[in-house]
Amino acid sequence: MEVIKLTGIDKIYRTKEIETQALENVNIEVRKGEFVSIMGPSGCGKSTLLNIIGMLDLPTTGSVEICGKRAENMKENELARFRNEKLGFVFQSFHLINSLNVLDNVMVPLLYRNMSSSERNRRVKDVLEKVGLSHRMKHMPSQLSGGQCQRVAIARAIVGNPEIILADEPCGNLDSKMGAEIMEILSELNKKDGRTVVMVTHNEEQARQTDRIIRFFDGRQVM
Amino acid sequence: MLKLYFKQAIALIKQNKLFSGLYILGSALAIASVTILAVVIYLSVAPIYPDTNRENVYYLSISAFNEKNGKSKFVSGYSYKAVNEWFYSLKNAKVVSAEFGRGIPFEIKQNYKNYVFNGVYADANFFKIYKYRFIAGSPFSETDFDGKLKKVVMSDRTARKLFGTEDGAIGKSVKMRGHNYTVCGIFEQPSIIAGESYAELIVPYTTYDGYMYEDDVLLWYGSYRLRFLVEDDAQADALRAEIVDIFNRFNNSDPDWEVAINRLYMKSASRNSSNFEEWTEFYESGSGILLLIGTFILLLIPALNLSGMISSRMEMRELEMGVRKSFGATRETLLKQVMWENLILTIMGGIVGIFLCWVILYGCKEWVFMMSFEETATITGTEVDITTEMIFAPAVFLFSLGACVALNVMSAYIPAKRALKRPVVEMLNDKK
Repeated sequence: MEVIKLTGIDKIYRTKEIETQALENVNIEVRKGEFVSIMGPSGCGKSTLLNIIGMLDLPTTGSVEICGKRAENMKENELARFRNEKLGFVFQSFHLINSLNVLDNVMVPLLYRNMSSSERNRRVKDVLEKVGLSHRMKHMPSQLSGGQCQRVAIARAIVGNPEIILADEPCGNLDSKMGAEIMEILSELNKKDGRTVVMVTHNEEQARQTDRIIRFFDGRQVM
Repeated sequence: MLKLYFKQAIALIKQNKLFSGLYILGSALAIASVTILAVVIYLSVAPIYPDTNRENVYYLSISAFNEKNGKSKFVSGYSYKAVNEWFYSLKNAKVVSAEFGRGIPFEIKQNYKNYVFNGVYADANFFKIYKYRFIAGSPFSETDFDGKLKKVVMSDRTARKLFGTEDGAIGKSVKMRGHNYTVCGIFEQPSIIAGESYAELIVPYTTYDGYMYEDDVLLWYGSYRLRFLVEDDAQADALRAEIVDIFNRFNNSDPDWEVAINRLYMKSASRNSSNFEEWTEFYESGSGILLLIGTFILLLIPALNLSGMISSRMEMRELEMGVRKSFGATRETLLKQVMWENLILTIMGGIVGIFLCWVILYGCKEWVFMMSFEETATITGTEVDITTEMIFAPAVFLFSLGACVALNVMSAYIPAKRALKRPVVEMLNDKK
């Protein structure tokens, strides 16, 4: 069963002077529980594609169906609720909120759900334990290493128990050892928890650890 | 959720101390100036000692008497004859009191020193209208008043200046305007801010040599000013109608003179009647409008400045807002968050502002209050007393809180709303 179904996706950025085609006729299907990597050179449209899958951006033409829901039929608040319940994001630069400690950062997705604070705390503590950071709950992001920041970001992505994890070069800012640790966590989330993971990467070795590689060049799928 | 907003607001303060400090200071100055304005206006209408019936005390101070042949005109208070024949017998007032002498310093020589005080010649009803708290002795009675007994009541501060004691002053004698007066009561010193009820010493007007003076030309004009205690607004309406009736009868019967009724001015703390036909309520009057316009101007200028600061901070926080949006926050939720965080900062500024206001009011009380209440004191250097009941008034506090909310909305709403309109992808890609 497909949880991600992209059909005939085009994405064109228009300014007054120029028109840039970021994606051209992209057709992708990802099955539930699959670990897929998207590879390609810089500027080939990988992140644009991930934004479209994450319903952060809409395509110029084509249809986006995530967990059976069509993005183009949803209003802004519905999209927000959908992202909150079904999707978890991991960014290359972690994108942690510097004014919040680890616990509060991980709690962010749960703030937009109707949930008691004790339940929120319990879930945050559970996921922090899972990524091995339960002893850093009160630390600020500035007090953590890059690998630890990314583990916090992964904890934030999974705390809401989403079906799909979208990771945009999750190891891009980490050294190889830390990168390997993060890959291990993502694989575990895929294998043990059965979550669907879509990961953008430049790293061939990391891509080979996934179930399938989708390659891009100049906005087009090449394999 | 509020706890989280509070936590985040504190974290943001710690993170950007300069911004937060400037924001709090800017809010504090705005709230301080608004609160000072509110305190000054509040004190002009609030029930403060000894004028605790302020809502229901009405004043009639001057009339215009026109000669019917148009040759001459007097604008003045009333004569003793007018007070007795027209006003003391009014049916629509609980208490009628007449007084004169405000504006003339009472000079007293004691122990080879000269003192001057703000005093007033009044009747015994004066103490039925104003609730002076006597700490020794009692006010002069109606019998004392009718018997023209030379008695004086004075404030504790006046007694201390003259005799070095308060309760020990009872029975002692002071010489004023050529007569010896015996001290019969000592009251708690009121503040000059108490307006028409303020006095440092009060003597029966019947002890003044010329209290029954009548002018040869017009028997009705003189120096007396009237004050009336009424039950409620309805009785005030009836009182005004009764006075109009008296003047109409006078105008119809006197061959030479008439009172210009449309130029009579009757007022209480909260409303006034300048044409003697209708009342202007406080909120329609100069003070009410001044408070609203003043508040708006005092808040608008800092709000514009703070708005610029918030706008730049929202730019700094775009990435955070983008992350929150990607994890499911709606624009409304984020707007609410920013407004709450900002309100917390503004309230912190408000608290500092209220303290600043108190410091300014205590430190510059002569300057602040004498501008507003200069009519009351006739003597330069009269001390301005401020009590806690005056500036810790719940009404003023609530007004300041309202000003904080207004400042928050005026300064934060538009920049926050504008910043949150940006597409989430742009927010996430922002490298700030």
